[in-house]
Amino acid sequence: MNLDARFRLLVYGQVALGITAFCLAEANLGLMVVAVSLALASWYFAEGPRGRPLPRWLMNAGSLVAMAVMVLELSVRGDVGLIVAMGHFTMALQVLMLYARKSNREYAMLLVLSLIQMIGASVLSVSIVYGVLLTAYCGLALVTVLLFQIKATGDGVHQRRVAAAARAGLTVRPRRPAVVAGRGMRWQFRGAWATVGVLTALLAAGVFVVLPRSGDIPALGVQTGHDGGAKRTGFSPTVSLAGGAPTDGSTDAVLNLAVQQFGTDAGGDHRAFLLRGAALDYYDARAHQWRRGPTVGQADRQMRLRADGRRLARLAQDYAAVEATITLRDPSPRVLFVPAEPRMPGGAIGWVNSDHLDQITFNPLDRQLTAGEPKTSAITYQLRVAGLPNAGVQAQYERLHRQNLQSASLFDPLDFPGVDSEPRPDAGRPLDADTGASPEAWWDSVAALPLVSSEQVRRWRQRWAATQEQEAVTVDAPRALTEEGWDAWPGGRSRRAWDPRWIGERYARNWEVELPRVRGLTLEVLAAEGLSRDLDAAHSRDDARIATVLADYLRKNFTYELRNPWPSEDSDPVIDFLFDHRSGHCELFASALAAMCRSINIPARVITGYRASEYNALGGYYVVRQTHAHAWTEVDCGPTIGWRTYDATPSAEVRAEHAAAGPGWFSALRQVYEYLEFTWVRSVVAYDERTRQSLLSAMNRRVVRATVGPDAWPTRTWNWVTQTFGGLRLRSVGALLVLLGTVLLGVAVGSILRATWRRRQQHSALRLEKLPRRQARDLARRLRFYLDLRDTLDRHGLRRPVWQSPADFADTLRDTRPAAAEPVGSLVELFYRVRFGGHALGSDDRQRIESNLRQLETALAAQKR
Amino acid sequence: MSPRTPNAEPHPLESRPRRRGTIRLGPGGWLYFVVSALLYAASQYTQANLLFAAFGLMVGGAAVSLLWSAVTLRGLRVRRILPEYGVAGRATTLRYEITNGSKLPVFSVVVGEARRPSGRWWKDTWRRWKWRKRTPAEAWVVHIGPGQTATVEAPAWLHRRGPWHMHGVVVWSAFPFGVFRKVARLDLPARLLVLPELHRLDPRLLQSARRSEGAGTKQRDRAGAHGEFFGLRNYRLGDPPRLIDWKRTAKQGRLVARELAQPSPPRVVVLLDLAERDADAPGANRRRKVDHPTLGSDAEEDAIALVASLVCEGYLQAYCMGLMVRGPACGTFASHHSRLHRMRLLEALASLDLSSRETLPDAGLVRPSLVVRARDGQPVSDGVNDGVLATTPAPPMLSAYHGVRVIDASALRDYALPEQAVDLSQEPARGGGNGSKAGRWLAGDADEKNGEASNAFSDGAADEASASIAELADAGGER
Repeated sequence: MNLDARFRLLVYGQVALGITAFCLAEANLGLMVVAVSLALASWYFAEGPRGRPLPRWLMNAGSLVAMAVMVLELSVRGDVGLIVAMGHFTMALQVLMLYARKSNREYAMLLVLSLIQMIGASVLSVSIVYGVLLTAYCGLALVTVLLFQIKATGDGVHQRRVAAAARAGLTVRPRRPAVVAGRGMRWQFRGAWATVGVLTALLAAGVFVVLPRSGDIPALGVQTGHDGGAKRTGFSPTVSLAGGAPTDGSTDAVLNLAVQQFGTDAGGDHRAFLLRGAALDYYDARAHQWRRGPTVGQADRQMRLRADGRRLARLAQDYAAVEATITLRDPSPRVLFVPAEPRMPGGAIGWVNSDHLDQITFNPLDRQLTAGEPKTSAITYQLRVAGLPNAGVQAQYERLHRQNLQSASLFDPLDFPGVDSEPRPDAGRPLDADTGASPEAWWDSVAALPLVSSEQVRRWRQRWAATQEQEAVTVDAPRALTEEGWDAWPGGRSRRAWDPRWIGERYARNWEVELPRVRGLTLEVLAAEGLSRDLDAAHSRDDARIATVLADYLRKNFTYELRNPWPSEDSDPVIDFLFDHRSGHCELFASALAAMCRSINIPARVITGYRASEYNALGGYYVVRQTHAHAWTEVDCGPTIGWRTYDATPSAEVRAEHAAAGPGWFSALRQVYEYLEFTWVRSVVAYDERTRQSLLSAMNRRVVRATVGPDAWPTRTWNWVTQTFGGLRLRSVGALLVLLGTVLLGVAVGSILRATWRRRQQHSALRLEKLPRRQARDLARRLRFYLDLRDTLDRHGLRRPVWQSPADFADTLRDTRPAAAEPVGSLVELFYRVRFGGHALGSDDRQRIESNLRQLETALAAQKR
Repeated sequence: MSPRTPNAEPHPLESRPRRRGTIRLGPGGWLYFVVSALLYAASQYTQANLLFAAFGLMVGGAAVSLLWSAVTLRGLRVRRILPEYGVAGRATTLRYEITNGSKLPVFSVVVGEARRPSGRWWKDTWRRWKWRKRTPAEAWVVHIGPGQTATVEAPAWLHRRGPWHMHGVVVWSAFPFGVFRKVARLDLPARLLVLPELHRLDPRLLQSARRSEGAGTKQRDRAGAHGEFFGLRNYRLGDPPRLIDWKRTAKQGRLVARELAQPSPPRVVVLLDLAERDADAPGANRRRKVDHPTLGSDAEEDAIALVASLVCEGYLQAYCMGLMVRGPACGTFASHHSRLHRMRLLEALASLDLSSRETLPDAGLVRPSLVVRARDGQPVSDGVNDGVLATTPAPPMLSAYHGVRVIDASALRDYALPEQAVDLSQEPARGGGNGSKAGRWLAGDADEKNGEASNAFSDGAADEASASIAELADAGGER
């Protein structure tokens, strides 16, 4: 295949690959099939032996139609973005140009259009599939561009020849320049391609790492489950029970969760974590919707995260709590998920840190974490949550945690070293002011913890005291809620929603929909277990047990079904679930448990989030998808226990629902794919300014550490040398022998390499590469005299052109160098006899060679004089 | 083959780059950087990391291109192989032997003739841009491996006659991306003589000139080595044995040899009359005159081309061609027929310097049989021979030559045979080219060199020879 045909084939491949990548990024498989088919069909219609390219006017008309379609898409279809419309336009142009007659200009336009399309696709997609396609595209584009450069140069030479011939008035059109290439062009071109590709990739990686990011543009992530269309499974900050069953959501991964306990991986196939997202305490009976209460947001506290995380990490390791690293691929809901387990204290967050977030918002009332404005397509954050019950060393931590759980001072600035807090102006005073918990007692307990120095405690305490004084001056009284806020709050406007005492009495307590019926069912269930509840009491000793009994009741007597029937027109979905259908999905189970608890004055709220159960052993993390969205309940079990997590949904059915389908090999393959995708997202897609700075600082530190200082390798090498050889004595014969052996070994290896290199050079000079190795070696040994002849001539400026045979060259010497012609002719004749006649050199031949070479040297030297 | 070459400098020549070369923006450089800038803007606007990666690729590509340009073309040796002559208006193939002495392969290398540097960078840049699509000769090689040598051809279309002074060779490569172009200039001076335009002419033109001159159709009246029988004489040492007349020898008892007549080919002496400069005539190519002052106007150049074509045609027709030039300085060439003589005439015509002082040819030695003028006067018939034209007023020198045919440069259009091309390597046909007897003269000339007698006379000539022998025999008998 010649250069031109190969280049055309590569252009077709590149265009087809670009179209495929864009359609995959757009998730438009139909368009991909149509466009790629059209593109490939053009090879037959335009490039084939009977192909006829489209006329120019048809091309122009097609371009106008494509432009009109783009304008129509942008104006009529509001859901199509500019990038998608532009991608369709460039796609149409490329397909049209494939059917046209193409000169180098058209080829260049095709390549540029394809590149623009890939750029658009880069904005649309962050998936690993697109990353693979992009890598393949870059490799293919590199070959295409290299060949295009060669072709364009040859065509340019040809065009200039044609122009020169026309200026000279010749009617004969010059022929195209012949493709002149030396031996080994194919491999050397591949080597050049690989070298250029690797160097370009390395430099590109450097530019990618070093180039500063501003991070002012909102991220472009995958779509969430509730995007305004039909109801689909997936996380949502609200729970709407109306509207029937949700349809299957996307299986795209939304986040990755890595859990560590005591510094080791705590995840596995056998273990599932609930990822707590939104806490919904208000049930709108008219809309059949769980929402976050409108006044709860008044307690939000914004916290600035400090970059220095080393001390935090040490604290986390010392106290053996569960450390979770979460990579959120779609930060657009702005909810930060917190891992939890059934029977764990709800929202028991120790500390939070992230390189991707400047500040977060924490609400001490419902323990909901919210991210600030996301600035990247993916964010990663680390969380410390309460330890698991089987931890020995964490008993102390749990005691400490229980002590402060209800005080709401958990996120007081100095409670968590490394977390700086800035209370919102309208957020009011810390909620622990009225709980009676003494901050001093907390400090004492911190000082009692192992591995925390008294100096650290003293420093934290001083800072805490300073902050308290500052708050006393600047924040003296909370601001009143707005009128709308009071109206929306079920407790009425007579109470101040931020008041902790009021919260203790009213927050997440009341249930208004058919209260007597629900209460009756609840009490009936409790009575069957020998339990009862004082309906006027804020808390009772048996609240935890009551919640457990109710959850068990729902789990045993109700059926989990994702496709639950539509509720009656005038009835409430929760009531229908409890008394009629007795089957439904997790949101109904969580709502029913919350309703039953609230009916007997036990605070309860619905939590939405994810259930992480798909463990990727390759990467050591959980993969969470939209289909893994889940809802459960948190119940306030009293001041000594706090909010606890209860999942009333039958676990076996949920496990089956969330289990990854497919055979074992498919699961393994999927794990590999997930791991690659996660690596891609973590290292490429989520790369941002903060990561850049930390990476550059780390590199700087490493470079400094590696070159300067006592641990630097030059220093260590010098020390080793001085220690090793400084103590060496002459009598140490063994060491000397080792040294000598090392030197000899080095010389031997060097000699072998040099001999191999020289042998290859000789074979190349004698054109023996294609012969069998043994034959080539034998001939090279016998034809060494020819190389000597060549070197001698070369020294005197006589070089045989490649197009001339040795015999012809010897003949030309008869005219130019008659004195040298005779020995050269004799040696060349011998060369032919040995090379092609299989002649073995005898002693006479060797004498003849020597005399001829001597004669040649003499003749050339004499002529030079 | 002529042992003498018209080029003053020895060739082939070989040279290494004078310096390491310069790196310029390549053919796609501007587009590349514009696309890179757009990509950077898009990445800043969207903050999409893949766009940052794509921009990094563009930057990496540019850097690698720069790096490649810095290391390529090092150790390159170029040897130019020139042809013996060039011909104006025709493609002449120059050959370049390129040796890659470096350890790295080179790809997509273009080698061409360099223009003479003016010494001012802005002027050179302007010329480079202005003549970017004009190249005297350019060859292209896709790949040369380390230590390999490639020979490539570059057709050069030569516009004008005269010496072409080549100053050097430019080698460039825009591999890998065409963003940058490494250009190396090699000093490689050489000279190639470009002959005037050559056309095949209607043979009747030469025949009419021969007829008017009236010579060349008869045998010369003296002895020669071959030809018709001339007489008998005593054998001399060195005579070919086959010339011995054994019958006479037997009769006379001593060696008697036949003596043959020496043939005389047709002779045409062309007078190129360029005494009246035609520089200001309509149609004069002013630009050509500015750039190349030794050239003349179009009509003058056509006249030179016509004479050169006559010389070539005369060689092929086995005529003895002579040349006189009136006007610019040029030697006078007596009529002769040989390849070497033809090339001397063509060289003289190619080297004519029309800006030189006017001189008169030595008209007393040779009588011209054809006068070629650049411009036509009032064509009148002189009434001497059919179809013979003279001009009014006639040149003073020519006033004595009544009956000499005078043609102007426009005859080139009238008599040229455009469908046939002049091949300088073509030899006259043996046995009479183009159906004339003249070729036989050449055949005799060639056989003379080989020491063989030619027997290619017509039947009539043989009869004449037989008669002469009979007469000689009779005369000898009488003696």
